[in-house]
Amino acid sequence: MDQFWHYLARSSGIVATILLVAALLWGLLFSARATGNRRRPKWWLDLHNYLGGLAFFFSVLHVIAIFRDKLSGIGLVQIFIPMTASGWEWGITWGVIAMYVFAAVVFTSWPKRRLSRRNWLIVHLLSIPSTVMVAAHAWMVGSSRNGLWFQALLAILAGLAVYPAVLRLIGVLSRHARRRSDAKVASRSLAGVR
Amino acid sequence: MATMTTRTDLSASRPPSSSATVSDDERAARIARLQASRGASGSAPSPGTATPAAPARRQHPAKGARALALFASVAATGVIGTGLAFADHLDASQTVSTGSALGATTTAAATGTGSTGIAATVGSTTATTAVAATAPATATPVTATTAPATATTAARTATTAAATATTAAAANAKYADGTFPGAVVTNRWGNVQVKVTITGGSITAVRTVQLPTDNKSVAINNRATPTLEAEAIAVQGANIDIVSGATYTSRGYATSLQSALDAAAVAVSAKAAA
Repeated sequence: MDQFWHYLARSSGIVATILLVAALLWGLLFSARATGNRRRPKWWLDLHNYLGGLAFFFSVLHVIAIFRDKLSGIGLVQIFIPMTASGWEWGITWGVIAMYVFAAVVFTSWPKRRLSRRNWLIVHLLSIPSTVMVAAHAWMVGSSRNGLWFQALLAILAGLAVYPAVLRLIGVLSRHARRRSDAKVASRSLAGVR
Repeated sequence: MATMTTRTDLSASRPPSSSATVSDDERAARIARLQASRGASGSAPSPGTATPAAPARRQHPAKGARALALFASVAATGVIGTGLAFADHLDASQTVSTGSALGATTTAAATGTGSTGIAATVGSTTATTAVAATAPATATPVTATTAPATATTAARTATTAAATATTAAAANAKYADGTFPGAVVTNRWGNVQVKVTITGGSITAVRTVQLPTDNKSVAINNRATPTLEAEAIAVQGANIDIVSGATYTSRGYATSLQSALDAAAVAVSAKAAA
């Protein structure tokens, strides 16, 4: 039975990471004005919300399985308090902080927004550094971290997360630049009228 | 009153109808119908009007995709977990086979050269352990590929005799007193080597000589090795269970311990022959 928890922890961690990146990808594609594609926005948003919730569920399952695995060395203290896992402090710490941030992202968006739009957006965008922390956690303490397939999987997931984030950033910057130039044109035309 | 005045004024501004004024009864009925259609609480709908519709349920446009994602996640968890368990079992099996061959070789070296010889022989075989093909413990070709060139002939000859002695010794489980180091078993995390202390023909202590040194392995091994030692002393042999979460360490521990016990058994045979 102990082996069951050990392998459940490893597999649920991998699946949670994949779901997290998928939720991030869906959310960035949904809001990516730079790509200009907004096919069925309700479908995108609904699936994005569901993937985020599912990723959170599998993350919780991963933590529970780690806790139940008696030889993992992870107890309640190590789960909730960073820098308390002896032997791999930073590796586990990244996972703990990512878990807290992810929980904040999920519970400020579901079932309904409890913050103002601006504050909600700031919290929601913390999901991007949270994904980076998850990758660091997997890279440092993943049981399969020496396997080539695992490293390749992490590289692919990193690419899937970074690419739409960069596209989104470019879209935001170009929109700001457009607004500034429109404002300049408008002010010049007003000056000309006067 | 003001309301009634307003209503009267309004009705006066409208085109004349068949009845110039709206009676109180008609007004009351109209108000009741309006309230019923709006689903106001406490007011009974008048006959003939439709009951208010139930609040619309939340729609999920991506219902199919959600179900697919849930199914895929659960299935992936099961498949990945099973695959990891199978891969670990496969790796551990290969480690056991290779380690057993090492044990036979080490036993041969221990007969004539002592612990230094063991270290020298094992040090040269460690490099090839990872690529050595799985082979039976008594196979001479394994020795040919793993033993150093300078000791190949002697090791080849000694291995066959040592393999026979190993079998006999394992059956009788009699060990010479002393401390006997086991073979170095290499796994994906590093080297595992133990030494066994035998007093009065019984195993009294098993100490680790080498273990993987990365942080996570150290933490896992610190918890696993006391359990492994206790089991080895309890069963008085190397037939110990794998500690969950420390599969590689357990396998390497058992293999190295077995080779140490083989050396102890051979020492007994040598003394008896002498």
